[in-house]
This record gives sequence, C-alpha cells and structure tokens, in this order.
Amino acid sequence: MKNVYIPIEMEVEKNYFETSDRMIKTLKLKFIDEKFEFQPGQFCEFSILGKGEAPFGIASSPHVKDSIEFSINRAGVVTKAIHELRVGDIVGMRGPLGNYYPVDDMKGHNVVVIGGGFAFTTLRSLIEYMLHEKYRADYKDIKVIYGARNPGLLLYKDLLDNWEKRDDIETYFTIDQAVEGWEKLVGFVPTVTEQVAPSPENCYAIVCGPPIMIKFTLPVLLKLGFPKDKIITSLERRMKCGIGKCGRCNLGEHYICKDGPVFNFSQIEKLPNEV
Amino acid sequence: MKKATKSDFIKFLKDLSDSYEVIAPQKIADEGIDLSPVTDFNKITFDYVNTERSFKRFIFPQSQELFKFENNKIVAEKIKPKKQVIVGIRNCDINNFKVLDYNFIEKDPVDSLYKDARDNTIFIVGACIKNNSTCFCKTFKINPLGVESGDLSYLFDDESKEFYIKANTEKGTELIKKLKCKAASDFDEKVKKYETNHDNIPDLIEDKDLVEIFSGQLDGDKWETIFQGCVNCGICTFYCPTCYCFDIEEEGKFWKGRRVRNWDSCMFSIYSKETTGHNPRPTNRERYRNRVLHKFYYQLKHNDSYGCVGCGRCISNCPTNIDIRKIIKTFI
Repeated sequence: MKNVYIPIEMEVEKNYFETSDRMIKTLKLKFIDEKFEFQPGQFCEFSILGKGEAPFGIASSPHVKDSIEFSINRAGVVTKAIHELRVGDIVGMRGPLGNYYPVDDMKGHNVVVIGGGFAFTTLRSLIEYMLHEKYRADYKDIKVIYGARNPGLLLYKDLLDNWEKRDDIETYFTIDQAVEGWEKLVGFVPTVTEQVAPSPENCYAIVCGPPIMIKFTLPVLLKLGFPKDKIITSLERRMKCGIGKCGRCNLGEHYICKDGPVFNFSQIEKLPNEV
Repeated sequence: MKKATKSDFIKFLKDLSDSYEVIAPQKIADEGIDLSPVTDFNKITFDYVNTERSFKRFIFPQSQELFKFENNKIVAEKIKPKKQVIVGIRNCDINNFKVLDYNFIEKDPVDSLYKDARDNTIFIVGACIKNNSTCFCKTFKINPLGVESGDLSYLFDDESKEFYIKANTEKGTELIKKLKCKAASDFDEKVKKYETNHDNIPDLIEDKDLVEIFSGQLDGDKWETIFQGCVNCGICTFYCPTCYCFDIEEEGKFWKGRRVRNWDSCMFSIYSKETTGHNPRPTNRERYRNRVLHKFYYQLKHNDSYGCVGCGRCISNCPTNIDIRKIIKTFI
C-alpha cells in the first residue's frame, strides 16, 4: 500500500520576486515523472528534504498541465529554504489537497472575486480558470476587487494589466493610501466593495484575504443582500499532514485541510469562533 | 472456548514468541504495571485493574519514521511491519479503534503505516474483574468484561484459577488451536458470575444526545471556568487511548535524514500557532474547549462514536486534578 506521506519530485523551472518588498517569490515547478491535475482553490504540501514541508495554495490555472505555480511569502524555516531554491533544483510535492471553489455550482452565475494582499494566489487560479475560452461562457459577469497596501505589493501585475484590457472581466484595483503615479482606486477593500456594490442577484462572492479584511467585507456583502451560502472563502490553519489525519487544523468538526479549505459563511457561522 | 491454567496460558504466549513479538503486562520499576515486550515470561502478571498506559503506542508509536532521505532523494524502502501479539488489553482501551480506525483507515486516504501495524497485530483482551474509582466505561456503553472484543478474549476465574479463553475473529480461531488445554463449556456462566462486579461503574450520559446538548453550548459561560485549573501540560492527551494528533518533523539534513511523526497535543499553545504569530486558539479556554468538544461532540458528528472510552487515565494522571467526568456533568 502507498505511503501517503511520500511526496513526488518536481523541478524548479522559474523563480522570481513577485513583490517590491522582495518577501514574496513566485515559483514555477515542472512535473518530472508523476503528474497530477487539480481544481482552483486546492493546495499542496511543498517539501524541502531536511527542512520540512508546508502548505500553499496553487496559484496557476488548472489548464497549465505540465507545471504548477506558487507565490510564497518568506516567513519561517521552510519558506526561507524555498526562497533560496535555484532553477533546476528538485523539491517534493504532495497534492492536490483539499476541496476547491464551487466552480460547478457557480456556472450560470455572476461572480465577484474579492481579494486582499498575498491571499490572491488561489483567486488568480480561479479567475484564470473562469476566463479560459473553454469555460468563460459558463459564467456570466465576472468582477474582481483586489487590494494591497501599496502598488508594489499587488501580485501578478502583468496579469492584472491583461485583465484590465479585456472586456469580459471588470476589474477594481485598490491600494490603502494614495501614492504618486497610482491612477486606480484608493481605499480598503471593504470600502471599495461597498462603492462597487455588486448586485447579489444570481451572484457568488468569493472572498479571500487577511482575517481583518474578511471581517469587514462580510457585513458589506450581507448588507448588499448576498445569501450566506453564496459567500465563499478559503480558510487557513496551521497544517501538517494535509490529508485529515494529524488533527491539527480542525475548525469545529471540520479539518480545514480535507473538508476545506473552501467553506461558505453559513457553514462557518455554525462553528466555534476560532478562525 | 477453552480453559487454561496460568502455566498453560503462559506456555501458549511463549510459543507465540517464535513468530511474534509478545507484549504483555509486567511490573515496570516504579511505573506500576504496564504493557511491554516480554523477555522473561515469568514476569508477566495479570494482577492489575488496567495497565499504566494503553496499547495505542504499539500500533501508533509516539515517534514513527515516515521515510528516510539521502542526498535530497527519498530512500525507497518498504518498512516491514513487526508481527506482534498484545495480551492483557482492557475492553475500554480496545474501543479506541472506533476513533483510530475511523481516522487512519476508514476516512480516505488510508494511512498505511497505521494499517500495517494494526493488521500485523493480534489483540488479546482480558476481562476486568475489578475496577478503579476512576473507571466510567459504562458511560460509553462499553462492557468492562468485553469477552466479545479482540482476536482472543479471556476471563480469569479467581475461584478455579483458570483462564477462560474465547476466539472472536478468524485470526483468533486459528490461534486458539495452538492453545493446548481443556475445552470450556461453562464460559457463559463464568461471565455472568462477574457481571455484578461492575455495578458501581457509572453511566454519566445514559440515553442523552450529546450532539444536541453541545450544539447549543459551543460558547457560553460554562466554558469560562472549567479550564481554569489546566496548566496545558498535555498529559491527558498523551495517556488518552483515542487521541491521535501528531506533528511532522524533520531529523537530520538533506544529505542524510528522515521525516518522522511525533505525538502532539492540542493542549499546547504552539499546536495551532501560525507562523504570523496568529493563534486561532489563543488561551487555555479555547484549547480546553477543543479537547472536550472533540471527545464529546466532533467525534460523534464524524462517525457517531465517542472520543472517550472511560479508562480514567486523564483523571488519575492530571497534575491539577481536572476530572473529565465533572466536565461532562457540567454540560448535561
């Protein structure tokens, strides 16, 4: 029987700083022998032998078949080792893990994606998925509200520019405080959401960001009239095994790694307040 | 069903040691009577209410290798599980399978390390004749005699000084053939004789529905006081036959090392603390609540079984005398 704790090997194809503070690096990893497919919102356990493993949401679109991407903030032992990787290095990967955004239920609906800071990774995967020519017709209007503290901290700037040029997606990019040269929106994500005021009619809201952003965006969405089961978020917890065995990431009776990370707010409000 | 003298039974275990590692209750220095691999079969004792620790660590070790690596490559090797026989398990303890099997086997994906160990172990359950003041197995509808549990079960009859032994599984049926002794026709009578020995064990829950009871009390005043004696030492989780939380850690360096899993405890503050410093369970209150709710609410929601077997070890080993029975009573 298969030992579920053994990762597969992947090769670093590209790595570069994603943000101006040089704290976030994007890594493109190539499959070598074994491959897997995934859905937007799923994550992997990224493994550096001798250092350990840590969970990260997959940032690339499921259509890209021969590689996957992650954008990783340098914070601890494992992420420091990840930042030190060079092109050609071999790393370990276990995945895809967890559930995913309800891309099937969302078909035929409008979608508003609300993101903040570097929690934008799996949202990028989701947006790229919906924008793909094969699936774009499945979804109605797509709106994206995305904010960061300053322009340098917005992820995937080239991609954001691309989206702005398209006419099948509406974008609202914002930063916390005005800076010279920034001609887009200024203000916190909840405030911008209130101004954009997406209609709750036949619409899913996908919210992902720091806890403080979620805390203030949720009341805005409720006020706009979004039903709780159509407000979707992706939760994070300290995880180890990633497959629902080690017990660590429970929120109520759910293991975030296995029953999540994607939940809707009617599920979350029934659980102890431990987010 | 057979009946054996103590020397027949010990002889049987000794014969098994040719093909299995035999783990049996023995007096361990100051630690009281505990399960331990047998080197001297004369040291096996059956004079105890329950062993110091449960048998959990023999199928889910406190520290277990997940794999080895060398020069940044995983060393592909099939870890061959040890064949073992564990004798003298109490029925409360073996009911931990409702929790452990659910977590490691029934719930996808299968944890092969656990399953291999479990499949290669023979479990011999010994009926309780006496009980401790901290026993409350009947709360979870567990019969302290437990002659239906394990691959083999036995009841030691004080009067005739004989072991009444019964096979409960295919493995057990094969095994009992090797036991050279008389057949026992009066097995059921003997069991009946000892049933009343356990009338004093309480059933704290009776027919109450804990899911209903706790779903209305996920927050609230009761949680404000019950955790206050707790010093988060984690001893309750380490003694618990059903606790399965573990940490995954690295030993060595990329040129030579291994990845291991070690028991962990939800009572420790760093258990849920994230790299950013954020801790979703920041105080004793949330940590203690999580432990109680996992045992008596979450686990029931998972697979309709309790996360507690009533062995009482967390009560007798708690340095601040926290009594889980009182906690249950607080809520129901």
